[in-house]
Amino acid sequence: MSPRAAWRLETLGFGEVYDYIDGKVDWMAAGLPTEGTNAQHPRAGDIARKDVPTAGLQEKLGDVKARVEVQGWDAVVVVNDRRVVLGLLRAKELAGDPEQPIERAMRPGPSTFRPYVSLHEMLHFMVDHKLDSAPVTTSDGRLVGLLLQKDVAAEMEKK
Amino acid sequence: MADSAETKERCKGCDREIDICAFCQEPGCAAAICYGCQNRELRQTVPQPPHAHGG
Amino acid sequence: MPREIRREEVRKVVASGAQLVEVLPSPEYEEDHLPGAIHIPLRKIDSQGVELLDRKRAVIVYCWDTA
Repeated sequence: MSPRAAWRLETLGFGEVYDYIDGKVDWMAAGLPTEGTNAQHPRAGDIARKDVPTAGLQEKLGDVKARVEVQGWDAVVVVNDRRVVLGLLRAKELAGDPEQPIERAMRPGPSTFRPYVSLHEMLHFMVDHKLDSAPVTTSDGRLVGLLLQKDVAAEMEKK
Repeated sequence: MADSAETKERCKGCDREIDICAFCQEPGCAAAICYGCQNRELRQTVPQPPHAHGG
Repeated sequence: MPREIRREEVRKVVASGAQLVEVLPSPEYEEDHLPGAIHIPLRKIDSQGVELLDRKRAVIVYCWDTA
């Protein structure tokens, strides 16, 4: 649609016309702000916990578990040095052999969700699938935070 | 003879056979969904916008 | 000839004074649009519809995605 709009503007005498081909979905997937009625309501990226602990592939499971338990977490997002999500450790994985490297212990390639996804839709899915947490990433896979079902439910209660 | 048939799931949205639920990635998920349907329902990387606009 | 640009360039061109135009139908614009974007649905892009725009400034158009 936007290429036709851009060409039409040229025919109407506009000299410098650009087409943002990736559009609004790309903008929102990068976690950038928008205006409008939806922008007034928090979305996945707004309430995802940004302080979720992260770990690298080469760390030892026992070390990571000890580190995050002190912080009161039972989930860890595995990232590379660009914060791209590679895996996830929930309580089940954290309870594994403490000597094994994260790379072997983690749940690889977890489903990730974009920051603009509505809380209503996420809550519905998380309840249906009995999922306590879900990683939120930008479209290029970088970690925004971990969305907790209890936070989503609490936010929806406010409405 | 042992039953070697792997249990496949079906997407609750389009009924296609899937290996594992795209949302929770848990085997035996009662609400299993494929990536396509999940993305459409959550409006992520969507092939269709929320309102049809004729491309 | 219109030039295709990506997100980072959009931000730069807007910062240097370009006008942003969303060409989707009204409900979608009302729900979410890029900061400062004005709304001219594709079907309204004609000599009257573009009166809001300054021909001397750059214009960036966008819709939902690459579709």
